[in-house]
Amino acid sequence: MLVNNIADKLESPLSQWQENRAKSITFIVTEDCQLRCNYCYMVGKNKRSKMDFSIAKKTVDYLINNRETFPEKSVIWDFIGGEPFLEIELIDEISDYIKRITYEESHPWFDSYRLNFSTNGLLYDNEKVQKYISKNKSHVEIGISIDGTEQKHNLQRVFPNGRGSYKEVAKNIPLWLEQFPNASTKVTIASEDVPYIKDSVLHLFSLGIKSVNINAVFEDVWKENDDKLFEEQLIKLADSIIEQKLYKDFKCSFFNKTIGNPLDCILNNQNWCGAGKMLCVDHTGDFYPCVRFAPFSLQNKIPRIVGNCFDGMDHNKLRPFLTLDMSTQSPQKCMDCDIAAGCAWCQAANYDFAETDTIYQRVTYICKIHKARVRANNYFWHKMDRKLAAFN
Amino acid sequence: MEIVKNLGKNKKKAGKVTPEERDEIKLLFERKNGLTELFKSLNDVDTKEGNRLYEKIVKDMGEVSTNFQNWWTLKSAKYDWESIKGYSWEIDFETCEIFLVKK
Amino acid sequence: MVSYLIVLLDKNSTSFCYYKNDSYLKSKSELISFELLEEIIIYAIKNYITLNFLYGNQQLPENYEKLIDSIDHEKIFPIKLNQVFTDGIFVINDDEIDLVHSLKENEEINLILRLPKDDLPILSETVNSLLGKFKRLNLSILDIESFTEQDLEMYEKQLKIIGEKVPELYQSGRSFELNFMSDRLNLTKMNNCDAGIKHLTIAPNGKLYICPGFYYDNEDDCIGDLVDGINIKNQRLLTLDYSPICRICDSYHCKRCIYLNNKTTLEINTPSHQQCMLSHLERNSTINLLSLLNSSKKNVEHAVSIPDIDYLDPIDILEEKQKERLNLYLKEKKNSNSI
Repeated sequence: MLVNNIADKLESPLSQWQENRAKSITFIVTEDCQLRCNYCYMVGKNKRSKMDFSIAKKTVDYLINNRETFPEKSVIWDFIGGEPFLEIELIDEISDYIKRITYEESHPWFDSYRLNFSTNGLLYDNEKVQKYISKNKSHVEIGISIDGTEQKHNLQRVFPNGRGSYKEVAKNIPLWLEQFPNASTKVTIASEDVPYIKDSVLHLFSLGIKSVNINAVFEDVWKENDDKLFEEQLIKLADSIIEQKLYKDFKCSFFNKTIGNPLDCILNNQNWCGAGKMLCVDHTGDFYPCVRFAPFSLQNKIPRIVGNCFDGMDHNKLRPFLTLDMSTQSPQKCMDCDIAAGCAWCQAANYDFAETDTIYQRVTYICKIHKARVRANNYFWHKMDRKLAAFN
Repeated sequence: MEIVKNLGKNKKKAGKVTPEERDEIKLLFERKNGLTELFKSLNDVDTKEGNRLYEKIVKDMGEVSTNFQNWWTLKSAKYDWESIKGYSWEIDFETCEIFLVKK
Repeated sequence: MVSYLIVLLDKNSTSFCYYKNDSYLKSKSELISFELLEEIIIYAIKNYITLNFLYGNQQLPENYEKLIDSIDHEKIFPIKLNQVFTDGIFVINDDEIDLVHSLKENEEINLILRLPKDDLPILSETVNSLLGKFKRLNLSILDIESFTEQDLEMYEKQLKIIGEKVPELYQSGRSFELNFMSDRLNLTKMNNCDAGIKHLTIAPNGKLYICPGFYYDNEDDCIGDLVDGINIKNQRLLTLDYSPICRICDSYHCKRCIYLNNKTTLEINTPSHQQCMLSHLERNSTINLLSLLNSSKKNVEHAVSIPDIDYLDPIDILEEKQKERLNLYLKEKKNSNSI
């Protein structure tokens, strides 16, 4: 029973809703943000590019009038920036339109939708934001990005003048958790953050955040011995979680029973990354397979546009994203890896850093970090299994 | 009867429904919430179009609420769930289990 | 391993495939330099490479022809030059269709017919008028990327008309090949263009390219030269194993044109929907041909059986296979997290 509870907590709430069968539509409502996080892949933030309601409307109309192309029973309307809550009035207008039109058209999405936000949390207590939440309470899912301890958070999540944003974000956490008790946070780890992992995760748990999803950046930022330090931190974290019995109420995405096994190149060949299956639209009405293919997210390559709200989807441009799999993009070392399961990839990072303009060249800068994670994960589950056996 | 996804204290398992039955109430639950929140977003009730929409929503809400209530009535009778004063039945959408939860 | 090289003798050489060279016919001849031609021939001799010379619409100077004749080679030239050459591969471009009727029967010649989409309604008439006049006919339909469902229907219809006439030729005992219809009769595995794998192109600027299409699109998109060698980045993506759609496909005759792939999907290993549809319509026309031949008791040597399928685009079954695997993966994940 205990392990079932732990197993239940292995997935974040949104990934459970409709179990990967909901269509995800992302509106880049603005490219502006109050912060300039050091590790942010959105390298082109600016105040110029804001979505007009007419673009969102055209996009929604296109989606609901093309049921053959978008046959999913459920939808997740995702609002992203920059910082989405900077455009809360626009978001409100778009949401109201979505509700109205899907109802009027008797579209199945009226009965199965969510409104999703990833926010830096600075505007969470803003009156208009709160009014929006109250208006859409049963459909809204909000994740605030708080990176851990004040020290760790302020290393990366800074205002343009370099000042850390922890205090302003942390003050909104109690309200957020009161309204969304099962909410999760997304923590990003780059090289400088590694020494603070254990304390950061424990700190987030102490704030009452039950689910902490952590991702290492895909970019080439990792230094010699980062993996060793990473492993040490995760083992210390594992010890704390088990000794303090935190596993009963909290979860951390680092520890997952499904990672660290070899992958069969045929049976396990699928693409876990949703780029191409989701649809992202920017302020010009251009469609992208994911926000990371938009112009302001790419460092080295031109954007990969797969259509627009005026002409619709360009299915040929979308084809490579629907057919990408593990074996076609991965170098031989990945195919031979005995612990490949759970090692992530990002098609946009592939594209941005590939030798040619392709998504089929896997970026593997996180290789050692994944291996370190697997070792720590094995340690955690070994200890957990013994503890549970003793309990039973 | 209220439905919440999170299970709190003072609860007791009353029974279980099939996944198909769970899907029925889930759809009604989603529709009910959808209509409620669509209603909140109406700001042109004074216009002809707005009024038409308002009337449609009210009618649909009536139907959904009736179906919603009927589902609980029918299933509680079918499965003969325990009923306690001061408690309401809740469903866990993931496990299809029905719980009695203190109000 | 690269076994042959396409040599663009002229910057304005005729196209012989899907790519367009807009300067052909419009611009003056810009011949490859004699010195470079010499270097190429020596390179080919040293490296066991066969040369295919691609001509423009004008005859070459005598010293060029003499140099070319110093090595075994293949000539590819526009049909306008058919009075000059009797042996080689004739290219019939879209503005040269009328010349088709002036061709005499010659069982030794190879033809390439480049037909734009707008001329689909006369495809069967054109091909049927050529039947008996060649050893091999390669068909390249242009503007594939803009094919609509109506165009695909028209193509299917035209293939059917051609397919009804072809058995007569078999009955007469003539040996001939139609890349889009008869090739698949004998194929048991992929037989594709293989640009970048089996052959490369060298342009008048002395640079190497995967195929002429890449040269004409962007001269900077070269992959080396004869001195510094060949460097094709992500070359594995040219091969069948690294094309998720193509590796499950059995339209073995398909060219798998990576130039078109790059234009339409932005990935060299991913074909467009239209390309897949066309190849499968052709594949199905082969099944129909085989059926007609069998019913008239005309055996085709080494013909293989081709299974019936209910799709025209392999991505349809790829998605099915992916869904099956995803469901299995989710089930395994749930099971592995519980005792």
